[in-house]
Amino acid sequence: MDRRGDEELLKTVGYVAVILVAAGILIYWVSSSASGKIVRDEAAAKQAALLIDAARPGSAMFINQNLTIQGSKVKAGSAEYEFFAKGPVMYKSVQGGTEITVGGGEG
Amino acid sequence: MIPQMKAMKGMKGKKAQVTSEYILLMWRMLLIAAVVFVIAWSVGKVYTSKQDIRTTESALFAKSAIECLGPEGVVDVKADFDLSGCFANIDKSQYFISAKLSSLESNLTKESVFGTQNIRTNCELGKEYGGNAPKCTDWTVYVLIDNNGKTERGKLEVYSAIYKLASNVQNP
Repeated sequence: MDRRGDEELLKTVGYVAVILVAAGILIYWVSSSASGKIVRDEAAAKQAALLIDAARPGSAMFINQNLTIQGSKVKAGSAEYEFFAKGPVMYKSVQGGTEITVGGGEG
Repeated sequence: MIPQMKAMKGMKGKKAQVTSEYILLMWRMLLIAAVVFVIAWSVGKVYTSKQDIRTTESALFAKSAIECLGPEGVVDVKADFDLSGCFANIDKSQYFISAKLSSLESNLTKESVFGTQNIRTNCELGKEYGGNAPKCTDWTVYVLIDNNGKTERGKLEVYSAIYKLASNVQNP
């Protein structure tokens, strides 16, 4: 038996294992950050708020996210954002997302 | 005596070899940790930063004011030229908007301001000095003015600014 060779092999396997574990943790963290709930919720709330701001009174839209509207704030999970639409904004949860109706201009 | 000395020398050599291998191992671990840290830090900076939508929002805010004051591109002087009627339910502390209507054919001018004046000041300072300033939009559109039955050409200058620092900037 070549004891020195065994030690070298063991060390190399150890290094490779450490690198693989570090790379695995890194890839998991990056992918969970990129597609994470916090990022998605923030993007959904802000995009919905911009859509409501841009909508003409009387418009209806469907957004494939679960959103709620409280007062002049649109909420998606833990994220929320304020919109400035003049008329009343109503929402209804439907299959696959949320239906939003922007009310008439006389608000 | 000589074999004993040789054995001692051998032991010293082995000890030195173990120490150097330990240093090498630590160095490699440190290198891996450093690479992981640098990648995590740079990626984390991108994915944990907030999306700043205020430039788009201030443009929409200005557009909304223009549509409110002059529906279909016609401003009626008999109607209230008042921005507070356009944005009744919003948090005034986060918004600023001003509109100035001037006729190109007569001396007619009208002005309206809504929101917090400081936001405009901070936006202008931010343009000059940078930093986490509010975002603003300056728009001029040409409109028709219904001046008591007489139609005049005019322009509508709208300045809108949005504060909302906490929800758009990572470390305000």
